[in-house]
This record gives sequence, structure tokens and C-alpha cells, in this order.
Amino acid sequence: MSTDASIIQKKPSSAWLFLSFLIAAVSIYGMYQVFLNGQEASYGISREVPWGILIIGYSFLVGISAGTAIIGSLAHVFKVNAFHVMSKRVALISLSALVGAFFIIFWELAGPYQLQTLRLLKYYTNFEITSPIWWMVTLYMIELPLLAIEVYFLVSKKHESAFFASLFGLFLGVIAYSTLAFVFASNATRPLWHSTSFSLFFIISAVTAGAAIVLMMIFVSGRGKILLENVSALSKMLFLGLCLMFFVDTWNVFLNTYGAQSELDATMKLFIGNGPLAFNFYYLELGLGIIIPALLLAISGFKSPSLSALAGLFMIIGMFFARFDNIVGGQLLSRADIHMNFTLHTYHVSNSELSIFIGGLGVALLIFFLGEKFIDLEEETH
Amino acid sequence: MSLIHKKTKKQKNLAMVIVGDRCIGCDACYVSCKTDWDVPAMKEAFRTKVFEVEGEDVHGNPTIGFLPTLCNHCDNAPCVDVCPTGASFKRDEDGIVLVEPDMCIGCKACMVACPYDARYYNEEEQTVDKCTFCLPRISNGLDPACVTTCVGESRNFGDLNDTDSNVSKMLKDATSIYKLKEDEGTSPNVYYVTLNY
Amino acid sequence: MSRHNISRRGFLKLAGASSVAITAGITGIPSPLKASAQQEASRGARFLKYDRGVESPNFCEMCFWNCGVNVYTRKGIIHKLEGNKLNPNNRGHLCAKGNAGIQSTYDADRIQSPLIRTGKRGEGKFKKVSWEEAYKYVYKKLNPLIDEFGPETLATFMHGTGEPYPHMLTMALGSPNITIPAYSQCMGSREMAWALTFGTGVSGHETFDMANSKHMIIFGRNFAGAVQVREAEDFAEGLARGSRLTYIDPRQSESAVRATDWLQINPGTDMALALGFIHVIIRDNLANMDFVRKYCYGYNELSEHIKKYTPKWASEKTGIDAKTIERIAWEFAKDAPNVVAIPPRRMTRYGNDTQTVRAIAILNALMGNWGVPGGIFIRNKVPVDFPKEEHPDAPDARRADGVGEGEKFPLAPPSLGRTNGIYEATLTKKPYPIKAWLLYGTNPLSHSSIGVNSLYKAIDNLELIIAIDTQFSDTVMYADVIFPESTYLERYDAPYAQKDKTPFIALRKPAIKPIYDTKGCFEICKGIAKEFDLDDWFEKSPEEQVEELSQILSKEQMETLEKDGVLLFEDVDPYPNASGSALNFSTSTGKVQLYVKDLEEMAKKQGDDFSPLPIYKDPVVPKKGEFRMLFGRTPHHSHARSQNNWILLELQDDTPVWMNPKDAKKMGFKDGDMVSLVNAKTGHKSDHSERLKVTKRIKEGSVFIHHGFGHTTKAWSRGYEKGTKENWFISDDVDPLSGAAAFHNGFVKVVKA
Repeated sequence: MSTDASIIQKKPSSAWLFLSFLIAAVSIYGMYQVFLNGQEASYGISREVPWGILIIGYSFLVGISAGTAIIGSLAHVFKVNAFHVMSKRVALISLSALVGAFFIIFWELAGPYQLQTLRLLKYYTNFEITSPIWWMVTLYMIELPLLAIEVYFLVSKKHESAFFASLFGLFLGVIAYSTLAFVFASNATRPLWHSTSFSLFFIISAVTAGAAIVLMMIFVSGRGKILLENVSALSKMLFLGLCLMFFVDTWNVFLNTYGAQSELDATMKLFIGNGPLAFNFYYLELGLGIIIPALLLAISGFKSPSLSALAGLFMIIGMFFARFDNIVGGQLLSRADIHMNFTLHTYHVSNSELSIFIGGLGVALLIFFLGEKFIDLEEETH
Repeated sequence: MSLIHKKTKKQKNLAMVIVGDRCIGCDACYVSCKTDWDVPAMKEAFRTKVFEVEGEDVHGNPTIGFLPTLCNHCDNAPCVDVCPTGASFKRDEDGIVLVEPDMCIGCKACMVACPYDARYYNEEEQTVDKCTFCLPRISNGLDPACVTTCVGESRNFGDLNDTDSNVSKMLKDATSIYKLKEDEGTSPNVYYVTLNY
Repeated sequence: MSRHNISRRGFLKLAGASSVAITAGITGIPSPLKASAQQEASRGARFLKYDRGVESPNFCEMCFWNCGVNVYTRKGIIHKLEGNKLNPNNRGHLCAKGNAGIQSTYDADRIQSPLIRTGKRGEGKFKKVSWEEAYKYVYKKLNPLIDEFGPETLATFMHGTGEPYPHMLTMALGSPNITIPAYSQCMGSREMAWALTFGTGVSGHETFDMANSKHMIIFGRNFAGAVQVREAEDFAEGLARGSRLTYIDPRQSESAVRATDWLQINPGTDMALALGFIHVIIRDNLANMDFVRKYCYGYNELSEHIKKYTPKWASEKTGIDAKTIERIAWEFAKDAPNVVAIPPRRMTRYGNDTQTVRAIAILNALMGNWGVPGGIFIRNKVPVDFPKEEHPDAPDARRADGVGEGEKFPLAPPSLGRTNGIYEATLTKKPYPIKAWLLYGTNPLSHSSIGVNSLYKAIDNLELIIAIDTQFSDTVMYADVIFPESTYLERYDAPYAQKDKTPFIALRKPAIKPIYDTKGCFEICKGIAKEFDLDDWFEKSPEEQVEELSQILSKEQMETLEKDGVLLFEDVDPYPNASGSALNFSTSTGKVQLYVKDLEEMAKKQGDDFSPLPIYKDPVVPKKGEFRMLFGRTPHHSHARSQNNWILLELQDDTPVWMNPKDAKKMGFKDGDMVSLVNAKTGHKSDHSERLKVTKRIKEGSVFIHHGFGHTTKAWSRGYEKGTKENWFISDDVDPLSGAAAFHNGFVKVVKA
């Protein structure tokens, strides 16, 4: 194992903490707007497009959380030693991203200032088992404490307990995140969502994002050269993930252009030609998110910590836009139109929504850097 | 989710029968409904709405059709399935789909799931809101607000289990019967008919 | 929630209504921890309760059709308006506008107290004053004007149920210049043509028996779009029962889509089409000769006159295939007499309007459909002797609007007057200066041509503008003194008696006390009259008139009226012809005048426009690159009065410019482009750009927008500058016979915004 305890790492300065606090504080704008004018006036979502950037941000951060949890667990559970790097930080990121995601979704749900979200717990025992969201809630009610416990075990060096927590975490990460994907995929009235490939795409991109995050962390820690073996393995993982994503994306496009499902046909028009999401799809989702990082990795021969980290960053940004396109794209088609003259709705992200989304990222960062500051995250030699 | 739901026989099968070519697109229903139920002052907030659909016939002449829409009170309601708290539910006795405001968390999953765009988020009440077939009115012996005011007498409401009801008779006499998006398996309870006199 | 999106609940919070109102308005802010387990057990229990509230009788004032309304009030707040099932005007239904009546009452933009202008005219600066101050202000300003120019210097415009009171006030002051826009801006030409032919007008509550008709030929009367409830019902009912519908309109309206034949006619050529129909009917011996022989005057003159108007000729003029004209004439005659040819309601179009309706009237007469089911029914008077009110003697002064014997428009009725004549007189100071206007519920700046006849300049010539209205309007903003009227839900009005197929009396009682410092029109006019010592004319208040009914009606009738809000007199025969009774026509010949002898003299002096038989004249047409400006009603708004009503604004808050695809192609426009209109004559350009709607639903060479938008009064927080005001682009032509306006001869250029 190449982790070297002799490298003395400085604790991150309080500047990072302060910066992440500032980013988190951006959300105050949105909170204030909601307090003053209410959600409806502040958010860009509408009757026709009820799920906007807050739901997207939630699913994005939960994806990061699931991906990092899976990568971390792979190392522990399957002894994939090449992935076994900075595992405390990886577990902490998983936890932080999840908290950030919950922060965002809290502002999306009804009456944040009246804590209406608590109704979820109050009526939990109605056991609405047909509801994917009910299952998602159930799973994340277990996942969140589990991640916290895993971090605790890792930090307090209870390796056996950490192993079991990790095992369970892997299991839950996959199930919970695919349940989140199922919240969309179960929707029969949205042809873009209503397929297995939707869930598959979610999971593949999450694992890929996990690898990307770890690569970025290695680069930021400045230990790329020392951890070259890990970088190489993770880069290959990232590359494989990108290829799979490209595979699913491409076949989806081809698949959906065949057949006579006029609704699906109309949906696909959003993504091609002059469609409202075409730019996102071609340039951000496919170009920046898949092709460029894959090229970067190929050029580097999986041996450059910096290029791999850059590829990881691009992939993460691309994944955000993939979520955006998928979730918004599923809703843009008018449902009331039975005459098949599909009219399109529009969705514009409002400043309040954006501020809460950015704030959510800030919250995740803040939790992470608080961990950095107050918990000993340095890895010991195995 | 028809695999899981057991189909209970409803005591009443409440339904709306809309005579398509009697709708003149005046939108009286929209206003009557919004007023009676204090639906918030927003273009997006409505429980029923009439769509004007412009098109062309085979000769290229322009046509317009009016399509009154409301909650279809589906027998297999996707909105009820996805609700995590049970706020959205379907009444066993008459099949009316309701949202209990005290239980709604505003996740909007039902709004996204509805194939008919029948739901909106009512921020004043902090709940998703929708057509109730005017349950408060019909439980007190009145017709739904939209039916009461319908200028073209396009909208008709009643119990399909009662063979003598006006809606049963209309379905029997109809020369064509159409339901929206039946292919989605929702089993809607709003019928669009044409009648011959 | 922003100020522009105010619900009734939001309004009540804002307006600081009583504490009762507030507790009723906010039914507890929901809290996750409040609902008890018990509530959970009874999920949905709240949906079983319905408090209808207190019912009070009323009739609608959102438009002037006056549907029967039951007002339901909970804890002093009006909750719901519903149609009165027994009222023949609407049989229990209300249109969108009628349903939205509550929102107009609970509108914080209303005039809330008497006001006197402090800023410049039109600037919108007013100060709150007491009623006394406002009355005194009128006296102080008006009295010197009367002294200097005579009482006729006051002109009154009025529209609404309170009309009798400004009428009384103006007469008592001694001015003959009383006008009701319904004549010269709306139905004038139609009513005159009908009266010349049949001896009676169509009346505001039209006498077309559409529910029973077998074939309706409708000349651009949009029953489904310009909704007046009973007519829309009858229209839908007739069609549902299988009536044929021939609909004639350059625009495919909401009614046209239901047509068996929609004839997209060249604008202004309706008379040619009607003459073409008549030609075929006479040529092919299709007329109902029994009826013609018995009741019509001048058939021979007509058959001679009509020879030149062949279908081929009509086809050239109208752009409608000659074969179609023949076929429809045959089909129409085949179903006679249960058929009806329906003229437009707002017949202020091309300046040939009276004669056009004459041709349509003749078409009906030849079918013998008078007093027949499916044709034209007979209106019967309410068989009750209401006590005669005393009126001041008719003023001696000459009218300023050219109405009256020896004037330019001798046939126009002095009881209605010509608003356009008054505008002109105000501008030109001829025949004498008009120095004061009294506006009751009227808004000339939104209801008549303002670009061409310089209405703004005319207003500059006024020393005093008095306005009585429930709400601000573009014209009320120019007033010097404003009296706020209570809305129809807040006030009494005199018992409403309607002459109709089934005549009836309806009641209006206030459902709530006035929300603001407002009064009924009676009290306001009496208050003004008192300053002039003329208040003796105002004897009985509306409330007293309602109370007085118990002395006029029988006890049973009174009970029915109190219980139902309406009292029907069903023992009448609307179809005397079908039931074999003899018909009477109060024309000078006592017959249906196919040929109007009364016009002979005038025709000799004043030419073809006054011909006893309609003589076709080509309409003026736009120059190349210009478009004819057509406008019409939307089902979602009443006149120019409802565009600040939030719920109706949700249904429509803009006025897209309709243009034919061929025209759009020529102009290089595409659907959705933003365009502005420019008046071809004055050069005025609309300040508001509009979305272009490219559609075959409008005839080439014409553009269309909906009426009633583009308000410039900032007092309207929601309706301000929504849509385009067509009044800048319409013509101020006049029909030479009736003296009513001809708006559709206005031409515009369309430019990219």
C-alpha cells in the first residue's frame, strides 16, 4: 500500500472553512426571498414543470454521495486495494454531500418555515409502499446515520465495525440511489423517464462520479505522484464509467428515434436540432461531461494526476447537466394536449433557486471542512 | 400499480360526461370553480380549464375545438400511488381522488405523475390541490360548481352505477365516447361524448 | 404574493377589513404538528362540509344582459355568485364574467371615496373629499357654465342600471344632450333598420328563437364569443338539436367554428350577400307568399329592385362562390318559416350598416318567420302597472348631436342620442359649445375612435367633467370630480322589469354593506340635484321602489318574487303567428315594410343611402400595404370594464394581432413576431407591441384584435397597459341614416416592434 504516513499534511486553513461558509451563506438570499414572497413567487418551477433545479441539485448531490460511498466500500468490502485511498475523507464526503442534498430538498418541500417536512415522519407509519418516495425516505433514514457511523468507526480505527458499516453502506448506496432514480423511472406519463436505462444511467454515473471525486481529492492533496497506482486504477474506473455512460446515452438516442410513440418522439426533439435542451445535451452533457474527459484520460495514459483530476471535474459538471436535461426534459412536454400538437413548457432557473442550490453545495463543503478541522482524517499505513 | 391495488367495487361511480360540441369555450367553469374553492390568484392555479385547440381539417380550413379538462378521478390513479404520506387518496365509496391538506409535504410527485396536469401547488394552503368533483357541494345536494354554471350545458355529472342517472343515459345514447389518455391505463372517469338528438 | 396577483383573501388582508373578515379569511395557517391523530382518522372529512351562506337576490351588472344572480354571503363576505335557475335571461348559468363579479367588488383599485382633481387632467392626482364638498364643487363649477352657455352645455353619457337618475338630473337641469352609447356605438343602425321594417327594434334582449331554429344565417353576431348567457345557451341548444348554421364573418369566431357553412366574406359586403340571397329567393319563388301577401308592403318594388343583384354579382362583391349563395338560399327557404337571419349586434361597422340590416330584415320577412318558433319571437310587456314617475318637461334647447327633426339625423331617437355627435360638438364647439360632461359608467376613451376624431382634444375643451362610476377608467382619470358608486352587490336598484318572450320582474338587493365610502347612483344624483334645488324630482329611492312592489303586486306574486328573486309572467304567447293570431306592426303602413315609403322624400334629397330599398355601395378599402382594422369581443371580458379583474385577466390579458398567413408571408412576418400597429390616417403608433398570431381564421387584408384592452389608467394595478387599445386605429365614419358610428373603416399598417 502506497499511503505514506511520513508525508506531513497540513490541516486545511480556516480560509477553506470560511470560504465554504460563504458559499453556504449564498442560500440566505433564496431563504429570504421565500420568507418574503413565498416559494411560488421566488422559484422558477411551475404547475407544468414542478421539479426544477432544487430537485436536480438534490439528485446530483445524492449521486455524489452514493458514488463516493460505493467507491469507498469497494475498497473495504472487496479489498480493491487500488481504491483504498483516503477512505476517511471519502466517507466524509459521502456524508457531507448527503447533508447538502437534504438541505436543498428541504427548501423545495412545502412550508420550510413551518417545518412541514416533518409530516413525512408523522405520516411515515401509513406505509405507503406504492410510493417510491416513501421507500427513498426509508432508505435515506438508514443511510444518513450509517454514513455518520462509518466515519466514526474509521476515525476511531474500529476497522471491523467500519467494514460492516461499509458493507451495509455499499448495499444501501446502490439501493437508495436507484430508488431515487425509480422516483422518476416509475412515472409512466413521462416517456423519457419511464425505462430501466434511466436507473442504470443514474447508478453508472454515480459510481463514475465517485471515482472522479477521489481523483480530484488526490490532486488537491498534492499526493498524486505518491498515489500514482491509485490514480491509475481510479482513472481506468472513470474511463470505463464514461464509456458506459456514452454507451447508454447513444443507444437511448437511437432507440428513441425508432417506433411511433409520438410523445417520446416529441420529447427527443428537445435534445436534437434546435431543441431547448440541445445545447446542454451536445456540448455539456456529451462533450464536456463524457467525450472530453475520456479523451483527457486516454491522452494521459491514466498516469497524470492533474489530467485525471481535470477529467473528473469535467465529468462532474457534465453529470450535473445530464441530471438537469433528464429531469427538466421529462417535464417540458405539455400533457394537456391530446391532439398531439405538443406545445413546450419552459423552465428558467430563478435566482432564489440558484442561490439555494449553490448554498447546498456550500453546506456540503462546510460539513467536509468542519470534519477536516475537527477530526483526524489522516490515513495510517495499512 | 394495478398489480398491488385491489379493485374495490365503488358504491357510487361518479363521473363527468362532457358533451364536446356544446362547449363554447366561455371559461365560466374556470371562474366558478376558482371562486367557490378560493383557488389562489395565479394563472397556474386552477382545478379545471378549457383548452382551445386550433387545427386544420383535411381541406386545410382552420378549425377550433374546445377541450374542458379537470381531474379524471382515475380508477387507477398514478398520483395516489406516488404519494409518500397518504395525503393523496381515493375514496372507496365513490372513487373521488382527494388531497388531505394536513398531510401533504409538497413533494409534487403527484403533480409530476398526473397525465392530465390536473394538480397544482397551493402555497396559501401549503398543499397540492385539485378538483374534488365538488365533494363538499355534492355531499350537500348541489351539483358541482362547473356543472351548475356551464353555459352550453356541456358538463354533466352523476353516478354511472345508477342506470337512471342522466350521465348513464347520455353514455347509452352517445354516438361516440372518448376518454383522455386511456392508453396509459389510468381508467379515467371523465367522458367526452357526442350525442345525436 | 405580489400586488398584481391579489386574491379575495389577500385583498381582505390588505384592505384591513373587519376582524370577522380576517378570521374568516385565514382559516388557520397549516402546521405539521397541529393536526391531531383524530383528524388523520377522518382523512377527507373536511370535504363533506359546505356552508352555502345567506342567499340574496340580484341581477348581474358585469355586462348589460342582466342575468339573474343569487349571491351567497358567508359572515358578511360574498363567497359565490350563482345563476338564478328561474331567470329567463340565464336559466341558472353564469358566464365567466358573471362568475367573476365578486372580484370586481373586492378590488382595492376601486374608487373608494369622492375625489376632486388636484393635478393636471389625466395625471391621476386627486384628493379625497367629503360628499358635501364634491356636490358643492359640481354646483360651483357647473352653475356658471349654465349661466354663460345655457344648460345644454352639459352632455351626459350613461350606461348601466342607474341610468334613470343621471337622466333625470340632466333633464331637470334643462339639457337635452342625454346619450346612451348603446345606440351610436353599438346597436343603433340595427335597431333603426329593424324599426323601419317591422316597426320595432330587435332590442337589447334579442328576439331570435335560436333554440328552435332549423337554419340560422348569422351575419357576424358572435353568440359563443360575445357571451350573453341565454343567447349562448340557445345557440348551443339549437345546434345540438341539428339546426344548420350559416355563419358570415371575415374572422372565424368562436361561433363560426360551429357553422355548417362558414363564409369568410370580404369585409363590408354583407349587404351584397343578403341581396344575393333575396335575389335567389324571389327569382326561384321561394318566399313565404302567404305571409308576404298578408303582412308585407312593397313586394313588387322589391322584386323589381332585386333583379340586378344576381348571385354572380354578389359573388364578385363578397368573394363567396355563387353556387354556395344559391344553395344556402334554397336550404334556408326549404326550412322556412322556422329559420332566422340574424344581423350583428354591434352594427357600427362600414357606414352602410342600416341598409345592410334592412336587407337582412327583408330576408327574414320573406321567410315569414315573425312570431314563429325558430324564427323571431314576440316580446311581451310585463303586465303590471308601475306607478308613473313624474319627469321634467323635455328641454327646449336644440340637441348638439344632430338628432331630431330638421337635423342631420332626423330618424335617430332623442332618447338615446349620438355619443359620437356629442364628441364632435365638443371638439368643434358646433352647433354650440359643450363645456361639461357627466359620465355615468361610460368610458369614451375606451369605447370610440380616439385617434381620428381627436377625443383627447375634445376633452381639452371641457371646463368640467363629472364622473359617477364604481371604478377608475381611462376617461374617469380625466374627471374633475368623481363620485364612487356602490357595485351591484352593494346596492339596491329599482325593480327590474324585462319585456321578453317570458316577461319577468327581478330584484336586486345588496348582499353586503358598501366596502368603501360609496353610494348608489340615485343618492349621488339626488345629492347633486339638491345643490341646484332640484332634488324634488328624486322622490323614491330604489329601496323604496322595491318596497312599493308589495302594493303593486298580489300577495302571492310578492311571495314568489321574495322567494325566487324573480317573478315570471308565463301566460303570454311569443309565437302569435304560429298560433294563428293576427299580427300588428307599428310601422307607418301597419305592415312589414319591404319597401320603406317613409324614406322616399329623404332619398330624393339625400341620395341612395336613404333609399327605401337597400342599394349596394362598395365599402372603402385599405390602400396597398394597409390592413382593415377589425375588432370584436372576447368571451372573457365585458366591454372595456373588466380588464382589471384578476380572475378574468388570467383568462386573457393580451390582444394578439391576427393576420392571414398570406399577408404575413408578404410582410415577411412569422407567427409570434412582436408587432405594432400604426394608424394609416393619423400615424399614431401603438405604444404597446403585440404578438402576431398568424392564422387562416382571419381574411386576407384585415387584421383583428380583441376589444377592451390597452388601458392607460395607472389606477388599475393589474389591467394597466395590458394589450392594445383598438380605439386608436378605428374610423370615425358615420352611417348616414342612423348616425351611428362605423368603426371598421379604419386602416392600419403593421410594423415590427
